[in-house]
Amino acid sequence: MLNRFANPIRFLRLADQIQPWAAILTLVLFAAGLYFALFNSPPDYQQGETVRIMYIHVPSAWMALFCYTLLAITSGVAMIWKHPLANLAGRATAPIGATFTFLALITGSIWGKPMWGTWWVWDARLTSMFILFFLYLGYIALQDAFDNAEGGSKAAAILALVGFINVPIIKFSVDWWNTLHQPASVIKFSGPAIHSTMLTPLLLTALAFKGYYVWLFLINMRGEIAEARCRALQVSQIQNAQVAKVATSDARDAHAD
Amino acid sequence: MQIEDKISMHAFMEFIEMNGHAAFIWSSYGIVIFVLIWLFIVGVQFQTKSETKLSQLNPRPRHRSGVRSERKTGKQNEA
Repeated sequence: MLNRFANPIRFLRLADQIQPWAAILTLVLFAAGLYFALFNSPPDYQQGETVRIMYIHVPSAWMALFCYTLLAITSGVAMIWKHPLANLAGRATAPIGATFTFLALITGSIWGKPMWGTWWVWDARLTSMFILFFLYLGYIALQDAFDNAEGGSKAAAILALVGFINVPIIKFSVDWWNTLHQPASVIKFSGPAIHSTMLTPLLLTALAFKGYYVWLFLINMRGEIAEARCRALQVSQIQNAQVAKVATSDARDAHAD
Repeated sequence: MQIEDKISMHAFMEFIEMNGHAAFIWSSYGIVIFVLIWLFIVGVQFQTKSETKLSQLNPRPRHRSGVRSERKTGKQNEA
């Protein structure tokens, strides 16, 4: 399966087919999610209308963790099997993951002010999410920090793999430490502890964000594949120029002899 | 008719005010929508710029990221 899509041409052909569906699904799910979130869901008995922030905050946080898990997987695949598209997939995913982490932090902070009376607390959940944001930024910065592109990719992949330890810490931080943040109410062993009128907009927005990820990932992958081809062409052009230069100087020396 | 208008206007204002939490709720939704649209535009610009650069470096007739032209080249090579 992995080898089948190692070929960029085959991957782009598949992307051509998936991209319009991802676009349609994203727009439809997002419109439906917004409708249910804003117009067709009740206020919470404790949090009142502010519960509507949950419909964008929680899916953003899920996407932040989902994208980082993908980043760690692509980094592992790139390092172990040297899959030609794995590193490009990581590069295409990192800005999307960083953006969702930023959105989770910002919307969480805005939600925290009316509920907790503060914009920010340095507790385990918030701090570990903040660290995740810097892991994303570190990955993006390392990719282009070296003159040698391969060195940059390797350093970024190592950071992504080491940083993956933060993902379970984020997930279980609300169980392991005392925190202002509420515990999990959707993804838990005993099933979701949330009413269907609230679960519907939450799942719709979560699916819309997944569709958005697929749509933008394919766009970013096209850009990354074109960039990689540009780099390869530039290297071969430099090599050809050097070969031509050596050949010309050899011919000149032979002519002088 | 006027009373109905007043009721619907009142309901609309109530919805906008979000029981006194309008600033928190609308700013959250606004930021999310703005940032996601911005990221999408950045992605499309990156794709367009990279493909333009590639077509300048490798001036062959290309379809999007070069799928069609490379498919043809592949067939020619096979032949």
